Amino acid sequence: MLVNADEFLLNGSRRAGPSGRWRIQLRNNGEDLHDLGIRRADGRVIARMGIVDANGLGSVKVRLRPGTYRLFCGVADHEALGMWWQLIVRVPKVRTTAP
Amino acid sequence: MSTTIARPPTRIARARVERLMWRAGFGAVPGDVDRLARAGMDVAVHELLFPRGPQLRKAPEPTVDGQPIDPVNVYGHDVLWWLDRMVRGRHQLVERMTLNWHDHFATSNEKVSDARLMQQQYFTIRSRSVGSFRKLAQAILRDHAMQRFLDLDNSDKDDPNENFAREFLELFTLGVNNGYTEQDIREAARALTGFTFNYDAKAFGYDSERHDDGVKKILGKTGRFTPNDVVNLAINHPKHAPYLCKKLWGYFTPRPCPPGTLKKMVAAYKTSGTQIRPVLQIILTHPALLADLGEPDQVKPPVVYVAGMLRKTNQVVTTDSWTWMLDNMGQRPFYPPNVSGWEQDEAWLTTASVRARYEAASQAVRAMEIKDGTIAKKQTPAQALSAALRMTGKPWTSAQSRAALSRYARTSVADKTADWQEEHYWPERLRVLCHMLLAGPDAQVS
Repeated sequence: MLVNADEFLLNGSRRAGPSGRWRIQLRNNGEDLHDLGIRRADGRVIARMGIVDANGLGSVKVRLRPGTYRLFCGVADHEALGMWWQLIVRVPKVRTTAP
Repeated sequence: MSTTIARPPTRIARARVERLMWRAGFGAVPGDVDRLARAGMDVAVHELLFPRGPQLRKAPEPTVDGQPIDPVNVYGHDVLWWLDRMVRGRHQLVERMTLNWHDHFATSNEKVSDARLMQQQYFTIRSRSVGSFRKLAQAILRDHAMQRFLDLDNSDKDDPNENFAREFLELFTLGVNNGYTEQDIREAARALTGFTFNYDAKAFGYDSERHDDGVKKILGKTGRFTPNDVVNLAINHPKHAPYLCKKLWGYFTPRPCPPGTLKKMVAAYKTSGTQIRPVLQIILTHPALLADLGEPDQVKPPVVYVAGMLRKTNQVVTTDSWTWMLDNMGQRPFYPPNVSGWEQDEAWLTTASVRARYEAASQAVRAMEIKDGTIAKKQTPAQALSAALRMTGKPWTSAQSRAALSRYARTSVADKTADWQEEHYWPERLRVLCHMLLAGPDAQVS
């Protein structure tokens, strides 16, 4: 999944997806430094990418279980200013084959 | 019973087709130059203007590390996706015009931040790239990537945003300071109000309550104009047709457009109801396009250079290196530097961008897999050059370059007699010859 960051918005390429291993990239299109954290619905932060420079690209690999997550920029008050994105992770669909 | 053997096309016929296919497309795939050179230029131009059949050639889909690309969810794959369309595209003029219109209606994902919207814009443009300019401009007005890029979304009657109105008159239809005033821009901005974008729902729309339905005066006409009216007023303006035709001419040749030809193009454009195809027909059959075949004068834009290199060497997209290489060369599709698009011709060649072009050729040669120990020592210099030409799609080469390449083919292995040297230097000769054919001065121009 690709998340574009700009002052002060995060824009994700997906709103939902299956549980499992995810690679999340952050492209910083803005002028400030930005970061990407992933927070579970219970408030626990399960991953942080680290600072990404302006025009830079960051990446983080994380295992996501079904649930709702908030992707956010952890720099200063950027999250409060609007830099967050909600991601819903669902149980993957199981393919059934006809007997 | 007699058998007719087709004569090989003459060198000049091949050179003409090569020039045409580089200017109107992304270079010919192996075999097409000879076929079209035999068929004649009329057939070649007709095939470009009226393509038939599937949009893409039968060739493997693009991959990175053996996996299918994901243009929406992985950084840089959007560029690979478009590059692949150029490489495998069969409707070459349509693809090339899509790129030209992307330069004309420049929109950058740097601001749009949504590869899906950019892909939609690609298809919006592609399906109208050689048809009616009026319809293309109307579609661009409603294109969501464009609306985001030039702040047309959420431009409200209480606070009309002038960005789209300004660029629409200045760059898209009339040209800088060419028949409009600041007041026209302000009034056009009022007429363009009403488009909406809900960020949370990512939903675009139009709200007549937010549209300024008052009387406006735009380009000398007065009325309660709507967004579509702005498109029509600009396109009906007498300065529009010459501006657009001249700009189209510039995409195909750096030579100045002769006044008589411009008149002819303008007449064709107007009488056809703003159709682009008749204008392109005049350009593609104009002698200026084929002038001085021995001294090409148009620098290939980076993405044309790369797509053409892959086409000529029968390769497809298999690495994401192309994204940063194109960036280093100065042209990343979906990311024009500003609303004016890319600077063309000599601006493409800087010390850094030429180096990036050399690296791109190295990447293409690596993919040819000419491994050590695979070339027999008995290969003559002439055979080596002939093999390199074949492997690089027989590109046009000047007499001077051919002489230099022949000299290199003769001298490079002359003193390499040991077995270990044979293992390495014979393939190395072929690799270098391929590289010089793909990256040398002749390869940078068309």
